[in-house]
Amino acid sequence: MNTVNRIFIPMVLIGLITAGIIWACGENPAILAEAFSNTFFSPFGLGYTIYYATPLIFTGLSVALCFHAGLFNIGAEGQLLWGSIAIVAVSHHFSQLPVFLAIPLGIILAALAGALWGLIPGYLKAYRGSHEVVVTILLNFIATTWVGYLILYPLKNPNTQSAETEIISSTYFIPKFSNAFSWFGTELFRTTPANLSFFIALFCALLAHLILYRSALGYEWRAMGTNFTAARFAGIRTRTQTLCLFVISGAFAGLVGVNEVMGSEHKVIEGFSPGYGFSGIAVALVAENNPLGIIASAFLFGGLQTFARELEFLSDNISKDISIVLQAILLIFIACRPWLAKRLLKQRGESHD
Amino acid sequence: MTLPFLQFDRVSKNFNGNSANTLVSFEVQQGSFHGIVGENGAGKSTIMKILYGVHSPDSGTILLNGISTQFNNPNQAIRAGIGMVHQHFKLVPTLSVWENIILGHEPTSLFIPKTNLLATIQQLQNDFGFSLDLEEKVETLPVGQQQQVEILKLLFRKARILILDEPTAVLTPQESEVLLNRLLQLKKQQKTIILITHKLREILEFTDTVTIMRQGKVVATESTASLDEHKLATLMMGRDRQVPVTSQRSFEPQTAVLEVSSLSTKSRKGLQLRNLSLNVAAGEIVGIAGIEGQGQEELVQVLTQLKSFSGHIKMLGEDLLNFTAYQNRQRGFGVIPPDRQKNGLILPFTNEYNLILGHHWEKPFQGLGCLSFPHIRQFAQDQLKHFDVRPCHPDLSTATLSGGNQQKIIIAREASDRVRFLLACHPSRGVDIGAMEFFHEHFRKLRAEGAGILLISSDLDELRTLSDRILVIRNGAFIAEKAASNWTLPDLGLCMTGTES
Repeated sequence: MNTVNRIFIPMVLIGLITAGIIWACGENPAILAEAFSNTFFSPFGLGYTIYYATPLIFTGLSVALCFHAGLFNIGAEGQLLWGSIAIVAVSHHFSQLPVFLAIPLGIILAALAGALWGLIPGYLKAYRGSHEVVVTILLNFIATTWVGYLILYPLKNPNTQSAETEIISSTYFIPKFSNAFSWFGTELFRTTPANLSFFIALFCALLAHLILYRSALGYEWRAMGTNFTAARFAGIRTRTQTLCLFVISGAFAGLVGVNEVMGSEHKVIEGFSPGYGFSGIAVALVAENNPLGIIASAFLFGGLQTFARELEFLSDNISKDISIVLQAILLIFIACRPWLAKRLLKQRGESHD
Repeated sequence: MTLPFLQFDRVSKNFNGNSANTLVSFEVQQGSFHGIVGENGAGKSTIMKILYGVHSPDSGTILLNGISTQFNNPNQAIRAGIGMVHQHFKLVPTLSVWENIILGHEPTSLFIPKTNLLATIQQLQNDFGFSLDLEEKVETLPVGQQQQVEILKLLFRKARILILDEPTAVLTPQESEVLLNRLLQLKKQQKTIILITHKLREILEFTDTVTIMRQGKVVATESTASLDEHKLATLMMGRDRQVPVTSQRSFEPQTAVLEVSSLSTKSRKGLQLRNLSLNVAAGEIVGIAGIEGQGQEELVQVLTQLKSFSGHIKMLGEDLLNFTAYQNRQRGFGVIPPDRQKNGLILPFTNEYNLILGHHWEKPFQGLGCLSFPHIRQFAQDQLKHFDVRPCHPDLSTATLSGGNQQKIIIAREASDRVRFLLACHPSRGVDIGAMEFFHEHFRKLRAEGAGILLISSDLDELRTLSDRILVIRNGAFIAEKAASNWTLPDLGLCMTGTES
């Protein structure tokens, strides 16, 4: 009863608040129900949710891994930009590679580019004592402008006016669900950008889980994050591990490019990321930094994104930026969780008296 | 003397099963200068914090003017006229002196009547003989003057009882002199002063009465005039426990496991180690005695490679810095850290995880980077049983264990059979007698098997029972060394407190 209440009551409240916002925008709150069913009960909605959840799994892992060692990686946004542009760059130089080389190369370079961008804050934190939050935030700006330059000049698509790169060579394409399973006779998630890099994300989450909870390395990281002084006392090389963590986190964030560039758009469009790097923080927070939990929470946030898209379709006055409002409401509720739980318990206690 | 002004009646306090105060009873007369003296961890600060409303007592009562009182927080205590200066000042560095003085006690009017307040504070300064510049920012003041701000703060709140917790610990000798004389002055103006210290000289020169505490209990409350240094030191260290100096073996020089020569450290602030030299041979226990904060912490940091130093250190026959801290552990270096919860354990981790900390890359705990859970479990079960950790569950969070059992986990890990040099800091701090004797037996066994042990402890009985030699450290340097049997307790106490060397 209590657990049902703990999930059910906030859900109803969130629904009511959202309805209030929709109503205030001059729309009929009834479209919420339609958007909800389109999001969760149609292949189209599910396809988009998978597509949105994939980058969030990567960035969520990127944040969570660092967090286990007591480090804050706010730089996933910059790392994923480098990962994305690296794919275009490698395709630009090696456009004739066969598929079985091109795809692994693209994936590895995306991870590598993100890792290199993570190396900088890692080094500065470990050996220079800089605060990683400041460094990673600032590096995001540098990455945005630098990648912006690459998009607009060396890698620009000459055939269009918009700020986007050339199309990558087709050998680098990762199949969409609709194509990959076509020999089953069904076009899974037809017309959605959901693609097989989702499985790379799942694999990464599993890998992160195993490293964290099953390996000596993960043991060291968690020791560092739980009691840094004791970890140092035990001879754990906290500097090396800090560096190592930022590199791995950067690699995870860089893999966002695989979903975006190899899987769906086949090019980098300036400003393509609606803040995946920052949403990753929320995703990790909701999952309490558990890698397998991150899959679920990425789906939640991905679902919100799809839901916002649907609302945009169904209304005149609402843009898909409503997803940010929904995220905020959700986060406020999650942040209030201890307080709400206490209130509920108290009410129950009083009703007994 | 009439009715006691302030009376503690059988006050007891436990923290997580460790008793900090047991049936503490004593009286303080109005307008007196009362000292509370004892070793570290004797419960001096705890009993004062109970009075001040920081902690609440488990049992017993405190009577103020004959009326039973209990404060729930320091604000209530201040309103009743009790003020405390903590060892670490509670000042806002960027505010001026007068702002700090009124902070938390500001008038509730819309604007702060600065002129009036300044006049009031100045009046206080004149009355009690202070001369601080009220507009000065606190961060620019020397420590001694910051302390005066703390005292003025209490006077501004009309405190009648001033409690000072180790006030001279942070001061130079000259500043200490000024402070103590100022306190005498305040006493003449009908304030009651309670001074917590472990410096015998301050007690003897300045106080009227003194309460001596040891292991959470009051040993005696006497008028200072009836005491001398020797008597005070023996009371403080505990003469009544005749410690059997057992199994002292005349050690024959063997290979050294630790050779330290002319070790010094630099630091911009705080304590420096000055030219330390020290040898620990295999099969020997060397004790280091000293009041807390005389360089023991720094020595531990140097040996665990957390602090840079000049000089030479050879551990287990090789230069310390030829190996990483982790490698040195594999070579047979064990450390029982001074603060088990801060440095020794990852409390939320399970017991088995804590038992492999620092050895987690060793076979068979891991293979190819993967932790091998069956081996870890097996090892943990053996160790927990051998060291009698209760409850004996490998997968229980270490945070749930009592202090003594937590310490057993550390000893099981750091002082295993293959350790060749053990650095043991306060190994039996806060553990019961049974566990302590078990540890001591274990250390003797290690010594018999040829390990060298460097024992840093504030428990002089422990030092004397275990050590072959005892060195005394003060202010970052070794000032005395004798075979353990040649030290008497009062000698050791006097040497540590620096009244005699």
